[in-house]
Amino acid sequence: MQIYRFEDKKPFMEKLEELLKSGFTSRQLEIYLPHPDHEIEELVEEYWPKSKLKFITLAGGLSGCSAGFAFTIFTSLDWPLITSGKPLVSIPPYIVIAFELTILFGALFSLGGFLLLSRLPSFKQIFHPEEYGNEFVIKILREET
Amino acid sequence: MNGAKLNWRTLLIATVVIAVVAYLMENVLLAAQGGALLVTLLFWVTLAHGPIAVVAAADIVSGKWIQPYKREILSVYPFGLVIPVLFLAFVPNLKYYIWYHDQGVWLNSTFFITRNVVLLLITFLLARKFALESIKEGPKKSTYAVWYVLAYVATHTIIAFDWVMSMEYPWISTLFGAYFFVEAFYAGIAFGGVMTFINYANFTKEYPIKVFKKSQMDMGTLLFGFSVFWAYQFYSQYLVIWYGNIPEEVSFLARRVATSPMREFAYSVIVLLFLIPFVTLLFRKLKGSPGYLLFISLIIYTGLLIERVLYVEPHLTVNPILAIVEFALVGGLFALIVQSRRLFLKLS
Repeated sequence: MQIYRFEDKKPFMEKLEELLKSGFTSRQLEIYLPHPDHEIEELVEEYWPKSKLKFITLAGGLSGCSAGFAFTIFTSLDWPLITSGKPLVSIPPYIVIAFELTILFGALFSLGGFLLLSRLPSFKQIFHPEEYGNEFVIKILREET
Repeated sequence: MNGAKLNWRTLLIATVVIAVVAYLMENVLLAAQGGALLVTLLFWVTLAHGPIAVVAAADIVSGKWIQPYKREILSVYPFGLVIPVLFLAFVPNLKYYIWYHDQGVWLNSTFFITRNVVLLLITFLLARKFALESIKEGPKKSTYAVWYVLAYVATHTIIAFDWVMSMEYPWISTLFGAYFFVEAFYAGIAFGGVMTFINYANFTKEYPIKVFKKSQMDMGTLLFGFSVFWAYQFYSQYLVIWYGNIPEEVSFLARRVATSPMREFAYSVIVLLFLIPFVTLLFRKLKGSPGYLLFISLIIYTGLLIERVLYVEPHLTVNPILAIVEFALVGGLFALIVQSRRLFLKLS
């Protein structure tokens, strides 16, 4: 295992770009930053495949929306009560339930997806005994194959 | 951009000429009911005030993303002067309003004209103050921004209540004012989308491509957000009317969805203002394309225009030829104003 430690962002970015250009994957590199940084995120996104989290969120949203309509339609048909002369299955008020469930399922799926993709919860992933303070660090776990 | 340029004098002359032409066409030549002029006014007033409101909102919260767009968007402020003049050309048609022959304290023609003209002029003056202060990043830009936003909200609320809602009397909706100023804001963001395409070469020359692309993405995201907000407002109004099922409320919707082709147009408004922007702007790639931003902005403007026709048509006849002529004349003036930004914004 090899470790590169930098005081400044600029040389760190140059080294990181060099390693990314030479083909290091997300399984071979680990990066430690003193604070979140969009520029570094964007650099990494250029070389590594994008997260699939958005598809999991979309699946959650769509299933929430369908569940909202299915639930309201099913309960209306299962126990028919005509109110204010409206049709038994009236879509306008059901939109509220479908909308809320879209958000709820979307959020829950996102959380679940994030945990799944990050291989969490795992103490090995959460807790890092190393402490680098204000340094920018690149750790090469495995050399390029 | 090269081509014809305006100054304050030529702008005023052109505005008065257009107002006189519109008046003559509506009242002397064809004896139309002013519907085409009202549709033109209702559409272009969104572009007179909405874009400035976008910059004002961004300045109030110290939004940096607006920076590349500022000059282009603020360039529309002189257009605010065109609206009260055109409104005066519409005044003779107030006689077609349902309340005209039974006037009260609020719906009274003198008070109606005065409050609208005064509010439109105040909004224009505050827009000018704000635009000139904001373009030079003056210390008072946030103060003027707050004053402008207040005037903008008041003016568009009164426009909604007076120009449109009073035609529908006794139908009333307290949400209608908010619905209007949100739509104008939506149109303002869409103007950013149009300018992204038209001025793309200049933007990327003036700013590093990464910086401009970030602003462009923010513009796309705001458009997406406002498509949802528009749907939320529309639905809030629709659901209450649907649930209440009171004849004087339902008549507003029934008039517009009971017969063809009004029904198809009414549905197309939801597709154009919500469904298409919402679904397509989910994709990053599309938000990043200047051509697509232009396309989606034009879709939004089409939706707004159809909606304006739907508001007016059941009460005042909208003559299609007059509507096209007036729309094009005012649109041409708007384009000339945007082209003349160097003079109006006092840029060196």
